[in-house]
Amino acid sequence: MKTIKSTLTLFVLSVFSLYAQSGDVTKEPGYVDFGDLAKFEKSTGVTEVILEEDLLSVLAEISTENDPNVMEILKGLKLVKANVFEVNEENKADLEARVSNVDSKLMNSNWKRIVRTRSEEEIANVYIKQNSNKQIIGLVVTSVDTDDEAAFVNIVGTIDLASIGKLGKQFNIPQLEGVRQQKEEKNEN
Amino acid sequence: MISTAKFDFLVNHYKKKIFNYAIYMMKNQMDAEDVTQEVLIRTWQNINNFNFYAAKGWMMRTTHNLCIDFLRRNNKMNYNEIHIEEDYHEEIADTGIESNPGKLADKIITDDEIKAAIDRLPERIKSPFVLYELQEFKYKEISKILDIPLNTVKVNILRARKQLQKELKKYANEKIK
Amino acid sequence: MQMRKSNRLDQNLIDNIIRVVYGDAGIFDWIYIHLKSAFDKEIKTLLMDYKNTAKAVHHLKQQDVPDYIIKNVNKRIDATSVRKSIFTVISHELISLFGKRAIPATVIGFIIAFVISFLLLREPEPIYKYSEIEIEIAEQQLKHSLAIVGKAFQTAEKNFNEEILNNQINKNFNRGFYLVNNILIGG
Repeated sequence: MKTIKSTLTLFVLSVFSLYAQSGDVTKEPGYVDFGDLAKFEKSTGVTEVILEEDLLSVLAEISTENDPNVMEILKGLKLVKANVFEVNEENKADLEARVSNVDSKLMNSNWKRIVRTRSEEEIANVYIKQNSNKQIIGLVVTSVDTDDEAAFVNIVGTIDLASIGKLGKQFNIPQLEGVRQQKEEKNEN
Repeated sequence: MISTAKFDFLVNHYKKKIFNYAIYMMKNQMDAEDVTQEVLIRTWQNINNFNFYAAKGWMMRTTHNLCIDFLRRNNKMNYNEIHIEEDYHEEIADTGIESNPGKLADKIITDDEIKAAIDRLPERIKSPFVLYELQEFKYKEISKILDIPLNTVKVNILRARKQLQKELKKYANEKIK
Repeated sequence: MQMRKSNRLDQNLIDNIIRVVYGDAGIFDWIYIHLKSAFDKEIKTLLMDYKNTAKAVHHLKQQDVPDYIIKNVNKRIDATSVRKSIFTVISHELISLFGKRAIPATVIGFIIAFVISFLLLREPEPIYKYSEIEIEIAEQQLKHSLAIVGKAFQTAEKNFNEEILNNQINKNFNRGFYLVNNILIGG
């Protein structure tokens, strides 16, 4: 019976491995499902980013000439996903609650929280997932800025934290400044 | 290269059985880890000396013997094992059921309780019981591992099952008190 | 009364109940015991008792071997560590199947032939080419995502410098120096 079982198991495994899609990123240990964010998508100022491995490799090739540092960072990445929402009075409490839920979920799943900042206007948490060789294979950032936006970011792959942080500071996207300006104008009116 | 592949294969397939059997015999994880390590090292040292198809039995026999040696050295053997009651089936019939019918049937037995009860079994009946019920070895394989006749294996497993029931009933009675 | 009861539940019957519950009994014994238990409360209770125990025994989970044990063994024997590639796993399974000698070689050969022909005959996956606009958008989105990460680090750095370093540590340092200078040394 056991022999027949192992034959069947081997057969099924072979068939599945042939049909299975290569590199299902949702199975990676560094991947995080932030849950159903659909209700926040009704507000304005919604951005969703999903960059998978093949597109990231294309970006890495392009950036080789302009900035070799970017190429180095992108080389090891399998997924960059981000959900960004404009914060208003209606959704602020819910967004903060979602950040708290994600925090509990990650802390119970062997993620390490390396940054936790909390002030009246802002909450920001950064988490990392390490493999047995202490390499960082997952990064999560959750933040709520009451004057600006809330963001849920997950990066999956081999991550050099220092480089990503440094690089991130370089990118002062006009859009971010633009959202802030629009808000200030709205408040004045 | 072939020796390494053979060794890798044996380690992958049998390390869990060796480790868990050692835990039940030694009753603590640290000693079980030492035994497991020693068995795997001896397997490597003898990788070209034994019949590959009989490796499973060889490894379990080595595990059992190492456990016994270890226990004897540390004088931890329970020598009361020779006093297994031959007629305890009547006790079960007389006391367990009349006083508390269906007590075990309704109770949820936790993993810790069952493990503790198995631990308390005398070594002579615990070994075949653990090999058969938990490690899924066949009677014939157990007979070779423990170097005892086939009928003795069957009888000891039956005794272990009865003794286990008795242990659990005793525990359940004490809890009520 | 007790004598009669213990006669009813004789050793053979109990042994059969145990064999049924632990999965050792033949089909006829199984039917016989279950029929008897339907008409006898005592037998039914005993059967359920043993069933509960057997279920608990068979549900016990095996503990995993800690990784460091294998590492220690490998260190001592200087053997290569266990590779986890699918090739190794499949080859180990094949060794196991051939090793058992119960499965005919023809069946194994058929499985291998099927796998190889599938690999050779399947259609290659289409390579998707991205347009310039898609790449441009992706670049912007990547920068946006990284900016969020950078902002979180910046906030943490700012808090550390202003709140912790300045207000909590530096303040106390300065206070300490003031005390030493003015009170102890009298400067």
